[in-house]
Amino acid sequence: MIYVTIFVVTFSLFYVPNIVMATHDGCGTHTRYNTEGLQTESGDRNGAEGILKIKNITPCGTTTNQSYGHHTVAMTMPSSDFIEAGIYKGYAQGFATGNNLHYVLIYDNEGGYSFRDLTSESSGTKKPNVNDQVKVTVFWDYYAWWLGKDFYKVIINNITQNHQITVSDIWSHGTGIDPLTQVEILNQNTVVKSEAATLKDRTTTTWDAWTSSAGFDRPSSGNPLCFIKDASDKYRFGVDSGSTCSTS
Amino acid sequence: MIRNHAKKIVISSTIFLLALTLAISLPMLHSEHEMANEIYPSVSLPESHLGKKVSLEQAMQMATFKVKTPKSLPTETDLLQVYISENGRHATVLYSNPTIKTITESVGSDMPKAQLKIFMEERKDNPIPSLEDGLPPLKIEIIDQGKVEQTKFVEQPLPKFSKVMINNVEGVLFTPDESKHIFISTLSWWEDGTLYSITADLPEPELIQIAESME
Repeated sequence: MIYVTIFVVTFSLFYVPNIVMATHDGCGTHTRYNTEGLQTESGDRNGAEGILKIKNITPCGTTTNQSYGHHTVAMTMPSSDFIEAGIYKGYAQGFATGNNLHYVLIYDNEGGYSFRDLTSESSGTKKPNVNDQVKVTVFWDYYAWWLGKDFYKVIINNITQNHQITVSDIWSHGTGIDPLTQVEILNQNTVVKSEAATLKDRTTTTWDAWTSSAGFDRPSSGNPLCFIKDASDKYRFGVDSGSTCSTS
Repeated sequence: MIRNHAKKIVISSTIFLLALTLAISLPMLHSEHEMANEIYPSVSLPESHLGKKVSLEQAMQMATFKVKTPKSLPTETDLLQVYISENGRHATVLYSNPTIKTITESVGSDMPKAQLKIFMEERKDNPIPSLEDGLPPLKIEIIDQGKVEQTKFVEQPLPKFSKVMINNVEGVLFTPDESKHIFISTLSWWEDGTLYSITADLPEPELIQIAESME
C-alpha cells in the first residue's frame, strides 16, 4: 500500500496535465490566422510588391508552441507552390528571432516548405525596426527552358535604413497567379499590426498599382486579426477589439 | 532488520523514480505528437487561386490541353470540385475520400479539404528529365548604402524523388520527406505537352495504378 501511495503522490506532484499543453500556455487556439489584401484582377500576374511598415509584432508562446507573426508580400502559383517574403518575429521550426524583427523568405516547391532567415544570412547586421518602410518585391524572373523550371527573385529594400537583400534563383513551380500581401499569426493571442502601401502587381515587365482588390480574413470566423482598406493599393492590418480594428 | 530497511528504501526509490519518469515523459510524448502535426507558416491559398469552378465537361472544353481523369480510384472516392484557369492552361480536380489523409496545403484557406488532387498544366517541354540536373544555388546579395557588402550562394536541394514508369512514360514520385516538410506523395509525368501531377497519401503502386488509368 505504501508503494502505491509513493507512486500516486509522486506522479501527481510532477505530472503536467495535457490540458495545459492544449491551451498553449494561455496563447489561445493553435491554428493559423491570415488576413490578406488580395489582388482580384483577372489573369495571371508575374509579381507582387508593397511597402510594409510594421507597427508591432508580439508573439505569444514559445518554440514548442510554434508562435509567430509576420507580414509578407507573396505570389501563389497554379501548382499551389508559393513564395512570400517580408518581416517576421517569433518561433517556428527552430526559427527563433527572440525580441528582434527579422527579414524572412518562405517558399514552397513541389510541396516542400523552405525557410530562410535573411537577417541571419546577413550575420544579423540587416534587420528591420518598427516603423521602417520596407519595400518587398517578389517576381517571376525567368523560365529556364533547358531545365524546365521557373525561377523567382525577391528584393527586400529597407528604404529607411538604406539597405537591401536580394535573393535570386528561387525555384517555384509555375508562373504566378495571385499577388497578395498577408498578415499571418499562429496562436490566437499573437499580435501583428502593420501597414501595406503602394501595392502593385506585374504583368510581364510592367508594374501597376492595384486598382481592384479585396481584403479577406482566413479563417472567415473567429479570426482575431482584421484589416482596414484605405484604398485598393493600401491596407492597414491589426487586431479586432470587438467594435474596432486596432491598427496602431 | 537493517537489510529489510535498506530493501524498502531501494523499492521506494525505484517506485519514486518510475513515477517521476512517467510524470515527466507523458507530457513530452504529447508534445512530440503535437510537433508532428505542426502548422507551418505559409500563404493561405484562396479558392480563386485554382481558377474558377466548373464541371468536368466544361473543363474539358475550356482547357488548351487534354483533361484526363482516372478510371481507377480507391473505394469511397468521390469527385469534389473541378477548377480551370482563366486562360485554360491549367486545371485542378479535387477528390474526397474519408479513408485518406487530407492534403494540408489548404489549412486556413477557403479551399475545400481534399484527399486526392490531380493537377494538369500545359507545358511545351518535358520538365521531368531535367530534374536530374538539380537546381542552381540561391544567390543572396546584401547591399548597404548602395554598395554590395556580401554575395553568398546557398544550396537549393530538390525534394527527394524517384523515377517511375507510367504506361511506358517516365515520371517522378516525390515521397514524404520530413526535412522538406513534405508529408504527402506527388506523382508527376509529362505526356503530349501536358504535365500531370497526382497528390495523395497513398502508396506508390496505388498512385501508379491511378495514373495509368487516366484517359
